[in-house]
Amino acid sequence: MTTGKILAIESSCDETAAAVVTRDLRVLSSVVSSQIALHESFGGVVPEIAGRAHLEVMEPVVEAALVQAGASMTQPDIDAVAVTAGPGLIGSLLVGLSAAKALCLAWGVPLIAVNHMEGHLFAAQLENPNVAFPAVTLLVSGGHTEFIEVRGPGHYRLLGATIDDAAGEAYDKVARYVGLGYPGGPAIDRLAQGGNPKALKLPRAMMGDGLDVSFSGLKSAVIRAVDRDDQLELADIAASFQAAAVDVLVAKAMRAVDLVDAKTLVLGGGVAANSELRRRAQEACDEAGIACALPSLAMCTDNAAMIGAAGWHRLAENGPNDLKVGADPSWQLEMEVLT
Amino acid sequence: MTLTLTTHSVEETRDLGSQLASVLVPGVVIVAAGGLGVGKTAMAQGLARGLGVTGRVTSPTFTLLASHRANNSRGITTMLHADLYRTVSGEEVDDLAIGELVESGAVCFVEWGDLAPDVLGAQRIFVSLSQGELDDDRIIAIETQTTAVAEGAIAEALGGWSS
Repeated sequence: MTTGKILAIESSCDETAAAVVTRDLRVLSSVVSSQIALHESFGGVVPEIAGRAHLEVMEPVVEAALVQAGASMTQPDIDAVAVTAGPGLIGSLLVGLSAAKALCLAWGVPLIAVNHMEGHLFAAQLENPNVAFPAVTLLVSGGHTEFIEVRGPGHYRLLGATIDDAAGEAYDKVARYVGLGYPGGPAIDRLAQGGNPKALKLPRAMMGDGLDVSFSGLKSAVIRAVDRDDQLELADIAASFQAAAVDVLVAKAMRAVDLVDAKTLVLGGGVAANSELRRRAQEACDEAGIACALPSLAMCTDNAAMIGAAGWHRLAENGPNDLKVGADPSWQLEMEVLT
Repeated sequence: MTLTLTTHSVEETRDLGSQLASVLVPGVVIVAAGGLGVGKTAMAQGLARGLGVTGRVTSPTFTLLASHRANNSRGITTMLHADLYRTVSGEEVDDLAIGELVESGAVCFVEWGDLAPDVLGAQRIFVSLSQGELDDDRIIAIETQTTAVAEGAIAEALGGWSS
């Protein structure tokens, strides 16, 4: 079966998404119902609203993914349904999982439960099938900052992670503190272009220590600097904060690359859309003579195509799941941990 | 009565959290208040250490609610760690069902818990953190609002701290 198709569903956090992905990892459709517009007025993502919105848009999103792939609800031409079963908020996960189970029963096809993190690790391969292994993936978003060695599909090792705040969280909190609203990352990135990155003296935490990172101290240092001096230019605050955050992320990523002798550095997660991080990562990889995989924004952020890709791998490796499988809000992806 | 203490570093705030763990019983929710960067997550990390949580405890701002397996002699099998920073109403917080979740052998530390204290169960300890005189100083005020944990017990457990 080289032409099989998986319908993939993702609803673990802020996005409701569906996609159709072929066995050879071609993305026939990928629909994301971004909930940003809904959340902007609240200054952040609201869980109850997120849960309800998943429920409201699930069916139209799935239908759109099928139609764009040349199929329909009644003639789906689908061989399996893959769905994110964790980690995430239980209410949001259950919306996706229930929809997936209903479709499996209606169509008589198997269910595949996918770990959201593993989806992110597959995202780069959808756009760049020739990622050379071993690779180091820097997964960096509002909820994640992790350095993961990928030796191939299913073979992962956690090399380092944040010990407190995720990088994207620091971006959002700094942005909200200086009145830039939500989402804060793009606003800081934009403002930083016109600012002086050396205007504020900010810490680069744990630079000498292994592969873990910390962004809580940086966040506090920015807030203290802003409290002390209300004459600071927003662009200078943004540029200085961004320089400190990116310095640490790139330095640690390249240390991880050295440690495992990686052939590729892969960026993933929402912060991977940050222009300065992309520029500096590419620069460092060029210098080291390795490949740098910079997925498009659509593949960096939460989407269902990556769940489909991980789903094909899980199906080949473990077979389908029982329809009784539950959502697991704290599902840890099976991986070795660097000690 | 409110117990007020001062810590002088992130590590001290963590230690204080760890010692506070020794007076907790299943069902208690710690409602933590205080601005950005004031040490709420650090205190939660200390609490986790005191409860025998071995995994890494990080900020749940984006994940909203994290669950950690605990291992201690006090019958607390789970430490929940929530963050209301991104929520806007008590109704939404109510959906996280923290009051119900702690009933099965858990305790919960809720960052920004003061945004919706009324839907965080009946057995609450209120902890307020604020910036002290020096950059790294934090003033920490603790007030028990549950008969399950006596004020005297907290004062005794934290006896090593000068106010």
